[in-house]
Amino acid sequence: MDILFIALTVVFVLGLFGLIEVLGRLKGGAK
Amino acid sequence: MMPNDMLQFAFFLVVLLAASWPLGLYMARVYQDKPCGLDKVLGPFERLLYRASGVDPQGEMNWKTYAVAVVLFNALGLVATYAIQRLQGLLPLNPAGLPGVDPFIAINTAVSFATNTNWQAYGGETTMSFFTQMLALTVQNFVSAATGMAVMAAFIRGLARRETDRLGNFWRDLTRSILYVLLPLSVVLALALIGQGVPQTLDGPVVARLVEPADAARPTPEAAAGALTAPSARPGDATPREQVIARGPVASQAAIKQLGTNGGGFFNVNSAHPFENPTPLSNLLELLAILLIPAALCHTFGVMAGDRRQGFAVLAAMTILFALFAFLTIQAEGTPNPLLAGTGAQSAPSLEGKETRFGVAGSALWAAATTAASNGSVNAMHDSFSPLGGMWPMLLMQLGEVVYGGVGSGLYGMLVFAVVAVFVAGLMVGRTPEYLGKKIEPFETKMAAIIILIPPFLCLLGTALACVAGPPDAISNPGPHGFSQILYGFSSMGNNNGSAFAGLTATSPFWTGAGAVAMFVSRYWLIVPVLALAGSLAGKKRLQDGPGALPTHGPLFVALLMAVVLVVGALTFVPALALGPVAEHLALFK
Repeated sequence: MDILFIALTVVFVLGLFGLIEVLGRLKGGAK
Repeated sequence: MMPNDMLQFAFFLVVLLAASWPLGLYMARVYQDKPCGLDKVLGPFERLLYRASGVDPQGEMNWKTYAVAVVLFNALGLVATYAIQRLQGLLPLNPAGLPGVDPFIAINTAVSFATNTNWQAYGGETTMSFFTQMLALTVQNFVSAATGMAVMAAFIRGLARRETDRLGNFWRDLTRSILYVLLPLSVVLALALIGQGVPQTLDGPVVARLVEPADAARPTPEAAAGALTAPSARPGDATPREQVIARGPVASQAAIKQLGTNGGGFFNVNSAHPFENPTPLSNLLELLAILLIPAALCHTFGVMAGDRRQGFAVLAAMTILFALFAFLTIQAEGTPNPLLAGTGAQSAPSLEGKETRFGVAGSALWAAATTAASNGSVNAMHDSFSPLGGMWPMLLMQLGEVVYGGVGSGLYGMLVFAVVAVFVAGLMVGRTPEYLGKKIEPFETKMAAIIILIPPFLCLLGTALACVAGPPDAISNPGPHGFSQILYGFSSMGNNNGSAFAGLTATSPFWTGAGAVAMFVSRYWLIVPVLALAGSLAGKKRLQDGPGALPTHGPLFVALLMAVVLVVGALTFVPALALGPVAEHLALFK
């Protein structure tokens, strides 16, 4: 379970980085 | 509503609004790096912290860098909180000898405290060691609140600045929020609570000999809950003769849990416990602490935006909505239960689930305040409220935690609603909408839509999943009330509130797992678009108000802002509420 928690945390954090990147491109495209 | 209830309510509001003004001005100086008084004492310590951690406090960040810093810092806190819980059996400050926390509970709790939700799927006094309470949970109380305040400061800078991509420095905002706002206020409140009798000790629990031993053949609720089984009880003795009375560093946690709108509590029943909230005065102080910083931040916004009237307008919208819902909750709880007709108690207000030392007004007002802010600590069991008395606090959460809301998160949430309000007004009169001189264009509208729609999506999806696939024994009542318990649970977690209908058992893997996902997404998947929105606004020119622009500091805008908040919340949740509290109310008062 401890390993699963670490893995899930990494996945969710990577997901947030992905969101930051997507919104960054969306904002860039809006200009 | 009785005159006494009205008086309590009015007194609370007057003190809250009076105290919010000087604190708001003070916090504006903190976020604008101006001398604030305490910097003379704490300034050297602040600079030492920057040097020790290698941070350049003057280095400004764009929205992406700011968001990455927020995510990484919070991820680190998440892992640390989980690790401390799992390892607490090996760590010091554990006088009760509590073992490591169950992994599902530990995951849920780590996410809960890192996201400023403080949903508790455990009983604090029987699950968490002092080490965990202080170094995992209380630390998260400070840093999660400061994270919200930092993001709010960045968002206000996005509105106030022009033609730049710089939003401030996350590390500086975080540090200054803790050092100059949360820490001093917490020390003052903790000392006041200790003065009222709240324990602050590292000694373990005490064992009291019962005057009248419990009857094993007729177990009391306390015995059934295991509160009457002392470690020294004789093996095989089925009649508990002693009671374990938990205590610990309660005052320090109670102070920050209220000021940081974290919620939860040292004890399982939070501020209903006589050690966490012993007197009517401690009740008033804790109640004020819940809403003080979120209300004061409206003035901070006005000062930082260069127009104090803007802060007053947002505060007015929040206060009117709060007063409306608090009034409705007190009114509902003051209404006698019709099932008591003919029993001689039909004229009495509903006192089930309430502490008699607080009464109806003190309990109902707390319920409204704790759900209006993203606090979530309770001083009464909301599950025992009347159907409508439980519905109004639930709806306050479902509005998106913007009626004061969490520290920082409430204000940036309300400002996002303000963006939507000017967009709606722009559609009505056919003009490009503007807020504080910034044009609201498609990107800003998309970000606002994401921010506003994610929490309701999580609440309704989670509720639907729990009804279909959740453990059926999680709810204590069948029918509409059971549905209310589920809806309340996901409304609380999906909006980072943390309060619970007491009848819900949320310790199963489904509830801890689904709840952790809801809390995580509703916090960080909102913060990222909030910062993107701030970054976009910061890059725009600030236009001068023209004759056709909607003034955003007048009563018309306040009414429009409240209407947008209410319409979005009502359209989203009324169908679900009709299945729960409304159906229960109609069945009770048929």
